[in-house]
Amino acid sequence: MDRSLIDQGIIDSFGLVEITGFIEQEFRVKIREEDMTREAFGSMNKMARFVSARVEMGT
Amino acid sequence: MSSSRCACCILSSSFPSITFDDQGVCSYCRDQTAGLSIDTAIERARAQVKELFEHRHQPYDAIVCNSGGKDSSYTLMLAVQKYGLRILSFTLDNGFLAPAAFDNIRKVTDALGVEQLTYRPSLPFFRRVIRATATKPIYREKTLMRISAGCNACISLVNTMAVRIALEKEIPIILAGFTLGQIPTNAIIFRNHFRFLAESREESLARLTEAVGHEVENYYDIPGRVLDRVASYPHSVNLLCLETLREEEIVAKVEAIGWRKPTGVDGCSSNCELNTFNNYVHERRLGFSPYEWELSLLVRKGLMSRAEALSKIEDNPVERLSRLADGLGLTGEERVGLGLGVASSRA
Ligand SMILES: [Zn+2]
Repeated sequence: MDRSLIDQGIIDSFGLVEITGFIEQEFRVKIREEDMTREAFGSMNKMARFVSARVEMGT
Repeated sequence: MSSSRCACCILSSSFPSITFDDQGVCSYCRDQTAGLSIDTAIERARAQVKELFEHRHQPYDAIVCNSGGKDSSYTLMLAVQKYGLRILSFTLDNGFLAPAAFDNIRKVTDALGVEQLTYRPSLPFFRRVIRATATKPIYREKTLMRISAGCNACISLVNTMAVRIALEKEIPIILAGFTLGQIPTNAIIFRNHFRFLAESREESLARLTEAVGHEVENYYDIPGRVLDRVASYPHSVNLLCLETLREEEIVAKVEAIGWRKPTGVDGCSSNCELNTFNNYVHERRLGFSPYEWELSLLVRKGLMSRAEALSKIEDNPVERLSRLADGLGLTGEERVGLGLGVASSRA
């Protein structure tokens, strides 16, 4: 869960677009331009942390 | 081809992760939840497009990636006539576009009163890229479900150049003529954040660089000092995904402003001769056509008959392969490796 989805060869660039779109839609959070980093979306755990932080903030 | 296909769509048994039920219907057709999310994604994209197109920009509202095919011609038409956008039309001349594609680009941009920018990369470089995609594993399996390796290399180049031009000229939107099936549903509209998305391409780009040389970076990368200055990345929008037209209706629309169907291309491409070669390589390596996914989606949506979809992927003029191999400068060894026999004459 901590391993990079990209490095594991699981997703390509459309995969990243799909994931960010899915998160925006499902969790109703807005992903801003400055959020688009490997820090936030590098692995399953990083994405989960990003989403829960945003949901708590209510944005 | 002897492999069996789904009884409803045209996916073949060699398609990744496919299974069939006892009626011969594939798992992708059985998974009907996908249909619902497509409609939701389209509705969501419509609202986003409305918001995005509200403000006008100088000197251009959008750049349109125009291959001269029917889909990009119709995208151009929608941008100008339906949405009233001020457009810069951009064509990447990869050296293999059908001569008629250029006539079509001229006729359509003239009819719509649009500015046209044509860019031609070094032909020896581009040929090396296509040869590498044909002879070495460059892209991952997931990418190759929807597109051949050769076409993906070309389209990545188009996208990189379009982002570069958009950043240079401060154009906020990049329009492309992809249809659902060619792209994931979430990618109808997305922020083309070059640096973020580039990370996912690092691995395939490294393989391409290894095969072709460091010149790859000049074409597929944007210098860090340029990206450092970016305040806002452009959005990519695939307007055609918001329309529900059958292929013949799109053809009729663009024919009304002077577009003509080129000869010398296969059933799946209305503009690029290299498509035939890329399809051949893909089918030989993976056992299915790179168009199966996209056409199956149209069949499921009732926008194309199954027979028509099958006739499209079977319309592969293999007699042209030898000439295309000459044009790409394939070595004798590479030709034999691809099952193309020895060179008829060297280009
Ligand atoms: Zn099927």
